[in-house]
Amino acid sequence: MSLLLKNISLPLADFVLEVEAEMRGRVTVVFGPSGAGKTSLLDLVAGLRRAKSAFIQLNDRVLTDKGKNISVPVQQRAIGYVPQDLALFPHLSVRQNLLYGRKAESNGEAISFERVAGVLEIESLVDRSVTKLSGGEKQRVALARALLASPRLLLLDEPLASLDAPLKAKIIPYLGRIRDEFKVPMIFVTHDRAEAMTLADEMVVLVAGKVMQAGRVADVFSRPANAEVAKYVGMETLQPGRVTSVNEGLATVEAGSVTLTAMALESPSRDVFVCIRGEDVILQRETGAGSSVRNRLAARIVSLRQEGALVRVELDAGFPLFALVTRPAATELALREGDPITGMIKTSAIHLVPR
Amino acid sequence: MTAEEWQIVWFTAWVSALSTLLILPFGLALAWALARRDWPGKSIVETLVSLPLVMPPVATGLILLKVFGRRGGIGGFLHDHFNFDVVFTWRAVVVALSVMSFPMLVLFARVAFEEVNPRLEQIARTLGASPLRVFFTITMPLAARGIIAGMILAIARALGEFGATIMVAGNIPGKTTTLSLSIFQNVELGEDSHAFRLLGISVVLAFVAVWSSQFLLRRKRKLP
Repeated sequence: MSLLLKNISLPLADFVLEVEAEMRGRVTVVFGPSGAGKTSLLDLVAGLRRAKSAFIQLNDRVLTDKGKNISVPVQQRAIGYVPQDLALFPHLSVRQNLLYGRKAESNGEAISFERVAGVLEIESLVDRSVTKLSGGEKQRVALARALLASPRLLLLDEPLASLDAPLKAKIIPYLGRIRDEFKVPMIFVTHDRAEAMTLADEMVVLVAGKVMQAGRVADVFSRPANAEVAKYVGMETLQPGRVTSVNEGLATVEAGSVTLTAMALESPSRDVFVCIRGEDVILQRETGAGSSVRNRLAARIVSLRQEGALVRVELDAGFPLFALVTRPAATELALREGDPITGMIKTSAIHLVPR
Repeated sequence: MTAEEWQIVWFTAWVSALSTLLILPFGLALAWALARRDWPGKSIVETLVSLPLVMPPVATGLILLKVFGRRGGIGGFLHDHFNFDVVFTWRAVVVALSVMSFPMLVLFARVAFEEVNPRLEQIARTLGASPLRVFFTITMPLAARGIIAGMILAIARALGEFGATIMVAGNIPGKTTTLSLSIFQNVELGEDSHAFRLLGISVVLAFVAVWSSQFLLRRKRKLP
């Protein structure tokens, strides 16, 4: 999949949405605070809004080229869209909703009704009225309806925002299944870090209508392009790991070449992301004994970068670990690239996110 | 009830229904355009459409008389090319009722369209539906109650129309006499018992129309 967005300019209430981006991931997350223009961007891709200038190309098909006055009508774009409020048709049954976008001619490539209903576990709902569905059921029906139109790209606007935490945890695997079973590329708007990490492989950070950073999810989280991105992503270290055992609420996690202790997850996922905020990493020159900190990692300083009053320290601790310390602290410790140092992280400061 | 009274009631009922059916396509198209689109001159058209509600009906009738008369623009054209006369025939009654009930239909249909969440229409398009299919499968069904309520009130408005009708259609017994014209005429002639029977029928028709439209609009509000 390749979605090319060039020269996008759309004036919104408080700022102009200006985007240059190429999205190539199976799942790309558009990440940013509320009001950053994320929904407007999806509307542009779907063709529901017109920009002042825009060039949008999906794979080898130009969808919008304002300069040449090209704009493929919404219904011919084959782009599925699940909006935040889901937009289920209240006057139609679940089945009629699901079949609304079904093409009359069923070619071999089309996604079959039975398969979608099976994967999203909605077989028992099809004869109900959409007004009698629970939040999670509505979500799955909306996803199925979009999939059944056999889209080339699926746009999801904060698909989990309206759900409470337990329901969210139930829906996330369905999104993973859509990604893996139907191979429909997805662009997914969210302001939730955990959702981004769990589902996406690429990420575009949008703040006040501008793309602040784009790249692999792990890279954006661990190497924010600037302080503003860092503020919104708020998580400096993101390292794939594996839970090897869980004991009394504590998980033993292998990450890179080291073993960490973290608070166990409620879900039984073994494959996780180990997330550590830079300010939660304590640097110590000597490996002094006698501290409550469970995780002590022998590390080497890879690089130092000033960020305002803070210094961002990249460490090699068996995996890339990022620490944020104040400038006076950095001076006092005389931190230099190549120095050995101990990185300490409290158990409660290591967040595990299923992947 | 005499045979003549029944004839008047039937005539009034069917010209009212016919005029509402005739304005339905135009009324819906205009209501939709007012609810969903911005265009230059929109506020002027909005005002023009509402004029028959507030102008003296007799004045509206006079305008229609001039336009549809043999020397008027439309009337002259119809007479010269099709030998088709409008004024002082039952057709003039239909014209008067159509013009007078048009604002009612447009006002209600417009609100009904505005209450349909545009997101539903947009998402229907992303599912591959053409704008026309979206209109008939999403917009119309969801706006149906409001539109039907508007139609009932438009018919009710037509049933009671007096001023414009008498100007453009006159009061020709058996040809253009409607309920209201007949009540007026009977009172003038001192035939109060006739007038009261027709009055009773008017009250019943008006009550049923308003009550059923309120029922429809109330039911709509309860939907999620």
